[in-house]
Amino acid sequence: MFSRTSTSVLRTSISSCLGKPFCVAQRANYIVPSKKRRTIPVYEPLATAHGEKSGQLMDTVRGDLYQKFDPSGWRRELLNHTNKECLRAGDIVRVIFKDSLKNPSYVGYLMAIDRNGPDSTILLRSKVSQVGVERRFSIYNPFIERIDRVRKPYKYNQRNRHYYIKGSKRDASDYESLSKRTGL
Amino acid sequence: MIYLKSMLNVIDNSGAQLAECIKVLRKSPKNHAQLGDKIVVVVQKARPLTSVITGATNANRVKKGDIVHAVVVRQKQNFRRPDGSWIKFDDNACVLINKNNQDVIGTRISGAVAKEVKKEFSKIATLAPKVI
Repeated sequence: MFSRTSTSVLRTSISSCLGKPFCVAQRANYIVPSKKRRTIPVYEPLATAHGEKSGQLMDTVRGDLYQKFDPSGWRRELLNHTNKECLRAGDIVRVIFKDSLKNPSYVGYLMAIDRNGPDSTILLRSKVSQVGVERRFSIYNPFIERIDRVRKPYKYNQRNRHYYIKGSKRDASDYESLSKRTGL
Repeated sequence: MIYLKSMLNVIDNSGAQLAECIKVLRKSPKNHAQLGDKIVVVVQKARPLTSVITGATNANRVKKGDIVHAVVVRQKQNFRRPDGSWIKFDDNACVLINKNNQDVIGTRISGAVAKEVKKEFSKIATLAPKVI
C-alpha cells in the first residue's frame, strides 16, 4: 500500500516519464456514510448583497419593520396623507391598549404628529381634574390595539403642530368626563 | 426634574399649599427627583389654621416653615414609561408623607397622580381621584 507521500512521489515520477498526469483513486474508508439529511437554513441575501444603493437599503429595513409591526397596514393608513381619513392635528383621538386593565384607554386632543417612519408618534393633550396632561404614544407600539378618532373639529386650528393652544381659549378640555356626561 | 429650590403644589389636605424642595433623597449622583421619588420640602404657603377642613385633624396639620418629607406625583418634565410612551403634566406636585412610617399626612388627595407612585405608595394611588 502507498502512503499519501509515496503516491505523490509516484505520480510525479510517472507523469514525468509518460507526459500525462496519473492519479491513484483513494477513498477514506473510516468515514461512516450517513443517510440522514440535514437542512441548512438559507437566508435571503442582505440588501447590500444585491448591489443596491444605500437609500434603498433603508427602504428594505423599513419595509421589514412595517411587516413586523403593522402587517394589516391600518397604522400606516392613519399617517397616510393621501388617505382622507388620516389623522390630523386638532382631532380628538382615543388610544386603546390590548391590556386594558393595566393600561386604561386615553383620550386627548391630537396636538402633533411626528412622522418618522416606524418611529412615528402622536402627542395627545387633555385635562384631568383641571390639570393638563400630555402623553406621547408610538403608533407602531404593539401594545396598542387600536387608535380611534372620536371627533373631528368643526373648524381646524391653524398649523400642523398646535403647541400654542396651551393656556389659551382653544386649550384641550377634560374629554374623559365629557364623554361620560354627554356620550361624546 | 425636581431639585433644590423647586416649588411644588401640595395636593393633599394636610394644610400646605406650596412647598419648596430642599433635598432629593437617595438619588446621588443624579440628584433630581422624578415621579414617585421621595424629597424633603419646606412648606412655603399654608392654609390658615382657623379654616375648617374636613377630615384632617389639627395634629396632622402642617404650618408655614415646617420641614416634611414628600413624594413627587406630577412633574412638568417629560417622563418615559417602559412601554416607550411619554407623559408630562402642567405642574409639579407632591403629596406630604410621614418621615417615619411613610404614611400620607393628609386624608384626601385632589387631582390626578401618575401611576409611578403606585409601586411604593399604593395608598396615594387609592386616595387619588384619577391615576394616569
